[in-house]
Amino acid sequence: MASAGAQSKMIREGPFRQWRWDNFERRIIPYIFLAPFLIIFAVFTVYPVIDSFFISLHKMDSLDPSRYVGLDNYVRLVTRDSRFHKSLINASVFALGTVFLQLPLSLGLALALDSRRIKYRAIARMGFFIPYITSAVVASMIFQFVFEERYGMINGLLNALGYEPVPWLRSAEVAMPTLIIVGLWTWVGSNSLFFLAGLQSIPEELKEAARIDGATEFKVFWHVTFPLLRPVTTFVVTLGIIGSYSLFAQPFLLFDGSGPRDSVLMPLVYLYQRGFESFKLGYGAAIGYLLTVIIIMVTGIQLALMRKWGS
Amino acid sequence: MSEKSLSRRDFLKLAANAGAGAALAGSAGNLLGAATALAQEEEVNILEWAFAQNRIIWQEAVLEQIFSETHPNVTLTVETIPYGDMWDKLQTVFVAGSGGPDMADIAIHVWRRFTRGEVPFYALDDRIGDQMGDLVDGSAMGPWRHEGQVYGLGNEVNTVLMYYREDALSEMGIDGAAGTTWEDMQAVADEVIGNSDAAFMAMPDGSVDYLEQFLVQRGGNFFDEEHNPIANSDLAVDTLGFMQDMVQSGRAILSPGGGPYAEVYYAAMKDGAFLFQIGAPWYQGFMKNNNPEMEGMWRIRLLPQFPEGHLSVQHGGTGMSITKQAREETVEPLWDFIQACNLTNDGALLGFELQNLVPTYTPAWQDDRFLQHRDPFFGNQSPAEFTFAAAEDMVVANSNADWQIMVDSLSRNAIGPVMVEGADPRASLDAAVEEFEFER
Repeated sequence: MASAGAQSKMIREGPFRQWRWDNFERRIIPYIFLAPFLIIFAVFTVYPVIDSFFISLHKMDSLDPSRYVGLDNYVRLVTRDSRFHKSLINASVFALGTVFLQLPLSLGLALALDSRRIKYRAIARMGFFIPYITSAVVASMIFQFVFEERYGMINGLLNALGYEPVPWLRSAEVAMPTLIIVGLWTWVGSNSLFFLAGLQSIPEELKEAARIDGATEFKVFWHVTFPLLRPVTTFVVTLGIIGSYSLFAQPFLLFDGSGPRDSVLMPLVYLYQRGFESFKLGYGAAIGYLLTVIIIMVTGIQLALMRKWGS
Repeated sequence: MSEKSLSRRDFLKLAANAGAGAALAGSAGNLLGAATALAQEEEVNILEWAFAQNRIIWQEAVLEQIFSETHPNVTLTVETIPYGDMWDKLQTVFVAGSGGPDMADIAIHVWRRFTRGEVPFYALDDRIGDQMGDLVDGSAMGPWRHEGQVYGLGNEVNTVLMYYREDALSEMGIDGAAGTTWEDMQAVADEVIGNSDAAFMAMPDGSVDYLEQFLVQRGGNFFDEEHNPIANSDLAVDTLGFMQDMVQSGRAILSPGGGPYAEVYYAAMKDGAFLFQIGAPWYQGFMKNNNPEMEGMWRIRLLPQFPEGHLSVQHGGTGMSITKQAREETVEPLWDFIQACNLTNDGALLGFELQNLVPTYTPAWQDDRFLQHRDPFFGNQSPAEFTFAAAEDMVVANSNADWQIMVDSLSRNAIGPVMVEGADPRASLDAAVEEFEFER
């Protein structure tokens, strides 16, 4: 028979130990469940991100032993690499095309889809979303045929109308507009759905109140609807700008890389060319890091401007 | 110490023991030999990375029909990797130091990329040995030679030839086989464009292939022997000017799709948009596969010559290389397999039968099957006859680890602008070389 002291110790320690284990379990078990993801994330995302920064500080050409060069790759990129500068200009032009062409078209389409006068809106919405979910590879291959100079659909149409064929894919002057057209086809529909969601979240009472005050439909749109779409506009513009600077598949496949005279050279294509075609891995990594910094800066500026617009 | 005499019984006992021991030892030796033989018979699986289906079919046929007789324990696993991904993947495993194949099928113009730093393939010189004299150097070993050592073996003689539309030309009364120089061909081209809507030929604006072929045929190069860039030499400027003039004079059209690798190029070929084209023998496969209904319409002839230079030029091709990541037990069987494919009459003939490509192994040329083979696509001509003739004076381009950078720069800065926009060849080639110098 246990003594009274021992009994009280068992009573004291039993539940306590039980409590301690429960507490431990509560804290640890979630991490055990998360571990598979965290391990994979650490190995395949965090480690490469950190390691590629160290690679960017090295001259690492193909199978040559790598050599530490400090910030040389970055200095060279910023001060001397005209192709990198050209790629940034191209991405900026494409981004402007995104903002000034895609946005109005997307918004116009969203307003049309929001109108009760249009029938089969659900089917139309689905149809406009299809380009977004179509593989960029497939779309680019189809556009290669559409824009082909001799046998392409568009030049066939122009020819029927009596116009000269346009070298959509092989002229340095026309290449960027061609790419912007492909961008419009890909993203206008999906962006319009974002705007549509925004339009449908605007309380009807606000518009009614404006109309009762004598506002025309344009004034209702300009002074009520559009300002209330600011969060959606910010989101779409941000996505568009990030997408413009990280565009890869369309220019790469349509123009076999960078197009005539680098007319559609994009930063990511340049990264690929330097990193994987020329096997300058250190330089390629530096392009990646610098591009990340640039995208963060551009997005930050754009968000600040949007905030100013809001206030 | 007591002396003990050896009795007859003891002697017999000892002799019996010795005999049994010797017999056991002999048995053990036999057992050991058997074990070694068994070990040699152990299954060896070769892992190969390849990208061209026609070559895979050929290699598997060699394994099955020839190699398995002497090496029944060797099997081949081929991982087919798309052409565009193959080189990045190889580069990645070479940098990583593991994960690569035992053997790789490497395209000639790509393999130079791997010569920066320690070459990740085994040199084959000692193994090829005396058989070097049996090979067409320019296609078999030259392109894989780096600092005096050969790291791959190519199986096909890739002499650039010319092809023409016999049916369309004979209707116009033009002999497509006439003319031996490019100057002669200008007159033929004028007749073609004067008598039809077709162009003489199509000039690529998205690929440097033709520029390199014409330039090397004339005796020029993108690089000199010391690997210095000379792609803006006077000869190169003149050659690019020749190509530009072909387009500007209306004798040539710009290649639909940029060059002869695009589907639309073959649509134009079928459409009769051009009546002549040039290309290595493997282009014959492209022509046949893309337009089988044109059987009998085309003919083969030798490439016209420039006043200076050579009869033909080597272009493209693929070779087999043993990677330094090959597992130890696979290296010897691998070499035996490469030998069976490339350095035996049976392997070479099988390649010819399956791929219509003339082997680099010249002893196999004596076989009647080569010259007897007629190709109905080319009006029952003997393709081998033309390859043999062109191989007599075939030149190989200088190349190095920076070749790809030069080709990219030329494509962007020179070929496209000069051919499409009519830019000045000299200024464009200078710009291309300048950019190359920056990027190399």
